[in-house]
Amino acid sequence: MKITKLSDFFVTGDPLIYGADVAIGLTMVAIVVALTAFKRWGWLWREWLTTVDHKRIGIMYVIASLLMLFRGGVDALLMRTQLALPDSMEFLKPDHYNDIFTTHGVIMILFMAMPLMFGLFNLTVPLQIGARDVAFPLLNSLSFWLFFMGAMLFNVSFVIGGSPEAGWLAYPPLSEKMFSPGVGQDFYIWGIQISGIGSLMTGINFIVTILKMRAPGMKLMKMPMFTWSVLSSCLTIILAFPILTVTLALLFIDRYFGAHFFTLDMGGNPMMYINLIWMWGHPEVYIVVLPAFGIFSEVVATFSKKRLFGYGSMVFALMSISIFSFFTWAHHFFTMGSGASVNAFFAVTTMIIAIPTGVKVFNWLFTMYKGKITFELPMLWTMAFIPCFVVGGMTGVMLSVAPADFQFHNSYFLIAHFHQVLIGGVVFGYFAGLYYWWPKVFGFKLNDKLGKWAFWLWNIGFYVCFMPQYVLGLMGMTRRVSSYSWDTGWWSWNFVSTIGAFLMGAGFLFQVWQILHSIKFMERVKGDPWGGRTLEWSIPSPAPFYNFAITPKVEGRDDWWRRKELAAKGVQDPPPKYEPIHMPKNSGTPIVMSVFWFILGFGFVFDWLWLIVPGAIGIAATMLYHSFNYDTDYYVTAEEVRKTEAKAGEGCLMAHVAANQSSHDHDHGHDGHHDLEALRTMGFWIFIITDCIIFGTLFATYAVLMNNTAGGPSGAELFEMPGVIAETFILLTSSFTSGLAVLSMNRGDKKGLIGWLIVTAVLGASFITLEVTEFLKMIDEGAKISTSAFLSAFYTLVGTHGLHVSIGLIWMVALMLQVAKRGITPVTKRKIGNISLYWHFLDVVWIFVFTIVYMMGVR
Amino acid sequence: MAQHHDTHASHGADAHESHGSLKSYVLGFVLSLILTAIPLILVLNDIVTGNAADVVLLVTAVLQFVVQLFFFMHLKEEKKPRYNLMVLLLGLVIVLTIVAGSIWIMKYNMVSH
Ligand code: HEM
Ligand SMILES: [Cu+2]
Repeated sequence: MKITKLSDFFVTGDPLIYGADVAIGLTMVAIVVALTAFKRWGWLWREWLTTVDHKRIGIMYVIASLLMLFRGGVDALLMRTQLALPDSMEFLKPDHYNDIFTTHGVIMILFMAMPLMFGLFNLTVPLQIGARDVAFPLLNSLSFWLFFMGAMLFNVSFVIGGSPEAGWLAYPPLSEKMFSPGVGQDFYIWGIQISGIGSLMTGINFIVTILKMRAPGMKLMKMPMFTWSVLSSCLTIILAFPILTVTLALLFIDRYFGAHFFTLDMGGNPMMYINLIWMWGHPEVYIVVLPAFGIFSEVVATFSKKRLFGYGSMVFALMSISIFSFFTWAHHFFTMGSGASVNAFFAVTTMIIAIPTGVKVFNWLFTMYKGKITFELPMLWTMAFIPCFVVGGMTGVMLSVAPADFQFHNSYFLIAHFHQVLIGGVVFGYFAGLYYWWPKVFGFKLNDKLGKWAFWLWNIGFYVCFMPQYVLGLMGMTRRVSSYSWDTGWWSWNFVSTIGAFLMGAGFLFQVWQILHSIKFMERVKGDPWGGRTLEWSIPSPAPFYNFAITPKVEGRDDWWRRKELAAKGVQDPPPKYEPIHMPKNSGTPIVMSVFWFILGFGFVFDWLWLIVPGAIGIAATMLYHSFNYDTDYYVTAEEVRKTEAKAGEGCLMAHVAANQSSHDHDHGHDGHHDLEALRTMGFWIFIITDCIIFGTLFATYAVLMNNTAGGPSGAELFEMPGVIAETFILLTSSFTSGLAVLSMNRGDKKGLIGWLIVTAVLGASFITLEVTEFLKMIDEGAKISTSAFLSAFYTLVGTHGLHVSIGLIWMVALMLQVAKRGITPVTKRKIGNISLYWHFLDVVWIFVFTIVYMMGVR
Repeated sequence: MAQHHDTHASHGADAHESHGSLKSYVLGFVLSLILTAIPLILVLNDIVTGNAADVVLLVTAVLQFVVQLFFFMHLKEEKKPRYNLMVLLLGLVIVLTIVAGSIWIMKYNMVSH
């Protein structure tokens, strides 16, 4: 975009925004001044920005997401203020109202709920399974910084360039260039894309962590329920987020290259976007609510002083929901007109998925039944959640009745429903989790009295705000309207609703006060303030940086509880014998790379090549730097561990109760056993699976759009098979030679390895050359990406594969250099194994491109 | 973090590398060549046409996928618990859902030209 005057770049003309400009500027100045005055820059960099410690990353997630909750909440209050009175109110102009509901929705789900959830994962999971960190600490830090940069990119649109205003899911054709020509929509796309990559990697990270890094003896069926819920949520993440990535990428290609996936003309089909985005969107709501279920399970058991009722059924419910959530997506567009059988099918699947959810509610109730319940804050939020979620779930089942949904759709009934499950389920759940684990994380408790105020304000406010909205929906008030007239009769209900919203706002303020107050009058706690049941309570609060001085040996569910019972019986533990601990080093790579992502995203938003190019180069350079860096970890000496433990210990039971110390010899019998290279291989495999989903989504799009040639050439007229057949055989052969490279490697034959890698790379390069030639010729003949929906889908699918091959080539060269320098070591072995896997995978994808695109296309 | 840094050497040999022998790679390669040639010969020369051709194309593609999984990616050799296999199967279920579901849902909404 060409900037000619200041108002092309900065958002101008609105006093609210000028106020925000000033506030943002002052805050930034204040931060810089404070850091400089207190000489804290080095501290900030060393202790936080470059940390790979999951606990600190977790804290950063929580802080960022609470800030986002604040912004999303202010947005909500602005909207409710606008809706408090009919007609005459012009507090927010209609287009400003559009900005705000779009921003509110995106922020609340993607930049508040998701990172708060990741924060809780990070703070808790490694401690619950007795691990020293997550499987990939550096990747974990990268995930955080990508989220952070993505969130920042999205948020600056408020003052620079202008906000997106096509709703939180950006339905086309409204979100297409024709109807949203501004940069807001591009901020939306890039903000979500960048943070989405981070979410995907977190998903992979925690799956590997949970499957492979559990303390010895912790069989799957002995895991704490929160860990189970994280596993189910992450499984859904890795399967669903690639779909979002593709969908937004296609929208971007439409906007940037003038393609026609979702436009109204040239064969594009906006409905396809809606179909795709909900394939991610529905699983997404389960992604955020499953961990909340996990939290409630922990809290209920702890504060009822009982084991969780129905452990097995709970596990089954969580895992089945994480898969079943993929089969209900069409209930978001019953009104699209896909026919009665489609609607009937998705109505039924939606109702079925309510069953495992119901099972869980009964499990919680039975856990409380006859328990010695104490009403601490986490428990209060849990008890508030249950009725709220039950009502929200029931209105959800009402919505799932397809014919009835024609009435409810896009009305305030829907708004009330999803806020009830999102606030009553997700937000209440995460609050419960925060209150529950806060003492573990920070070593002090939060003030109870202020917390109760916040609790009651949130709860009363919630019902006052959202119950009237069910009524409004039935009265016919549609969502996303910024005003209504007196004669609709909606005024009184709206006014009440606004009061409720402000009560919740007050609740939030009480929470801020509560935190500040508790920091000031710090009430220190020991390792186990609640009488917990799971491993995280067995170590000091806050946990030392290596978590467990001695890897615990687990024998049962609720292992900490078991050990406390043993201790009460007077069973003494042997004195701890400390050993050196292997730890990852801090690294600046993640934050630097994420800054380059920000630059790249900002460049694409404004279409400034002079930013895009350095951004892309920077990303590639940091990636290569990381690949060549072998100095990533160190050892903490046994002496240092002893000192740290002595300092933190102060007589609390803590790790000394490590009843049976695990010895470091590996018993291969349990699946908790791990070693670094095996972890990484598994992580890479899961990454390949997510890539499968990327291609699957592209194939689906191609299948739906392939006949929409809009008067342009069809495949039969365009494709020239000799070249394609040559490409196919070349790639197939390279898949074979990459295998031969692995064989040489396994024999320890370094020359052979490098030789076969070179052959593979040359074949790959010839493949790319042929493909590029083919593309250029087609374009020359007038078959461009903007010619028709068919060609958009064709170039994108085949081009994505080509891009993968090209990246693989760069990677292969980097690996050759590493092998040449370092020889065949476990690390280079793992890397070569992975790239050959990647190469086979690309060949498999090509088989399907060849078959479905070319062979079926020329017939 | 993994505390088993020192075990690289001992694990290098078994835990995490593609096995396979020259024989399996060659066999896989030959099978792939054949499975690529079959559709080329049958379909491009119009020996089979219509729906039958689609079936031939898809079946040979899927077979080739399976061949690569077993002979190149050594899926069979994974140790229990076979998490990789499970994730792969799940991924395939989802890919199928995406493709088949989209086609089914969009059938009534296609604006074909
Ligand atoms: C704190 C209390 C909250 C209030 C008072 C509130 C209020 C609102 C209002 C007034 C709208 C716009 C309705 C319309 O005009 O169509 C809205 C939309 C929305 N809210 Fe909230 N909200 C709150 C919390 C949340 C939370 C916690 C989430 C998610 C975790 C959330 C997610 C959404 C979404 C996705 C939309 C739809 C945006 C769109 O139409 O594109 N809200 N909310
Ligand atoms: Cu849904």
